Amino acid sequence: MTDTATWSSPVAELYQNDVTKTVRNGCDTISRFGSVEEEHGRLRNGIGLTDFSYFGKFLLTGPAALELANRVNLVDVTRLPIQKIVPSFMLNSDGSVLCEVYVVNQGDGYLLLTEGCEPEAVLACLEEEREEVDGPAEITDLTRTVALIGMDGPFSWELAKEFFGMRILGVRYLDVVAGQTVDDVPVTVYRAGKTGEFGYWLRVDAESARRVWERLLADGREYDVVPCGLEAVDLCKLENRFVNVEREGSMAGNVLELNTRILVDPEKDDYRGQNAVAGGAAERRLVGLHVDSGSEVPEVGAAVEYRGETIGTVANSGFSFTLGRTVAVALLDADYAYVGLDYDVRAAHATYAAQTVSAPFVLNRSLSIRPQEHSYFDAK
Amino acid sequence: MDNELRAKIDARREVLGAIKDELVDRLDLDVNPDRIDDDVFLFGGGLGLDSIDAMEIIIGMQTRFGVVIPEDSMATLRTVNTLADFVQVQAVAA
Repeated sequence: MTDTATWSSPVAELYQNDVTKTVRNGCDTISRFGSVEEEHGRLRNGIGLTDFSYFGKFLLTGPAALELANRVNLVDVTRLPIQKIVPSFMLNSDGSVLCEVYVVNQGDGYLLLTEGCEPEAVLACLEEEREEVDGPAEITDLTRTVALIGMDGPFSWELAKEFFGMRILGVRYLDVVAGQTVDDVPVTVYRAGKTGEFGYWLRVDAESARRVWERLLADGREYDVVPCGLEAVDLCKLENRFVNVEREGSMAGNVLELNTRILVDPEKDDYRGQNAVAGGAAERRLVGLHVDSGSEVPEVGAAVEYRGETIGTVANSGFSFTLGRTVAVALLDADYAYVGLDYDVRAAHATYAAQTVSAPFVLNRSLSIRPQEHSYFDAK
Repeated sequence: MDNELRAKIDARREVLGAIKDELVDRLDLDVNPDRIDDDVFLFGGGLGLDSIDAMEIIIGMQTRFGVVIPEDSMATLRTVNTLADFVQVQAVAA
């Protein structure tokens, strides 16, 4: 993955000063608008807006679109209903992770929303695999012409209701609602997210993204909506054990190491990376850790040890504002990868006691929110 | 690996295996228990279970392990590992 941006998100272009920018998947975007702790707090307790426009976006159409969609991802999408989404991974031939992908059945084709590698790499994979399918399949790269705005938080449904009506409350996780508008701008709503709270992705044409972003912020003012950068989102992902492809995803030698065995259908037809995952065994497995390091965060790559013997490696880490402690995920040798055990993390400057714990790290506030009964204004 | 750690891991594996068998049998899941990762989410993504399945899981845990999971115990009903955490804590308390 490169640190050089080849393009800029339309939302990021709104902010030239007083923000911290980063390059994600070759796209110039925003890692923090101000305080990560404040942004994280909004995502956990209120409503935050995040720019996900850096995602790769590829529409597969034509008679062989389904076959191609199935060839390039881990999950069998043959029975994926129209206007539904399934999360999955695209693999390299050796079974390692190329990127995370959300496959959307639009009815007129399959839209792939990818994260974790440059879109050019995804396109190269699609074009290579297209040679293997029986029939024509068109690949349309929508990466720079389509923007994706995230609206996340325990009360994000309440702001969504103001734009899309009561029906949005009945939309289930991984459903698609087409034909919506924000400020007369056509919007498709994906009920999805990576924070563990209520969440929606709003798909809009890139040329209208700024207008929609600003309208959401303006109408969200009474909800104390703030823009949130990717650092806050990545922390939420870690707390909820969503895979961060650029951290633990890139360190896994085989996708099965990421607790993904359930996604593998042993009867699925030929797909990229199948030979490497068909055996079903993983030499290592990803396990969560509470690390007794105070606010010090052990670095990625720190060794995990049992009585001086190295048994694994820290793959991702961060200070959880929700828990008030440091958490990590580590790839441990399979024989040691169980919860309820005491290990050590040997970081660069100190060794810390650690305990293996179940996923997720946090209990999300959204689980206790009932849209029929609760409101952001009651909690305020 | 020393005997102390091995004993802990063996005990954990036994509980995890029994929970996975119970889930597959009681919910008639079309999946081999060995393919269920310990940290896979029971609801939402992962196994994709629903609220009716939640009641069956509670009944299954009571039948298999003699533990009573409160109906509103969201923290327990999240993954196979969180179910195992509850079972092992209750076993120690008993």
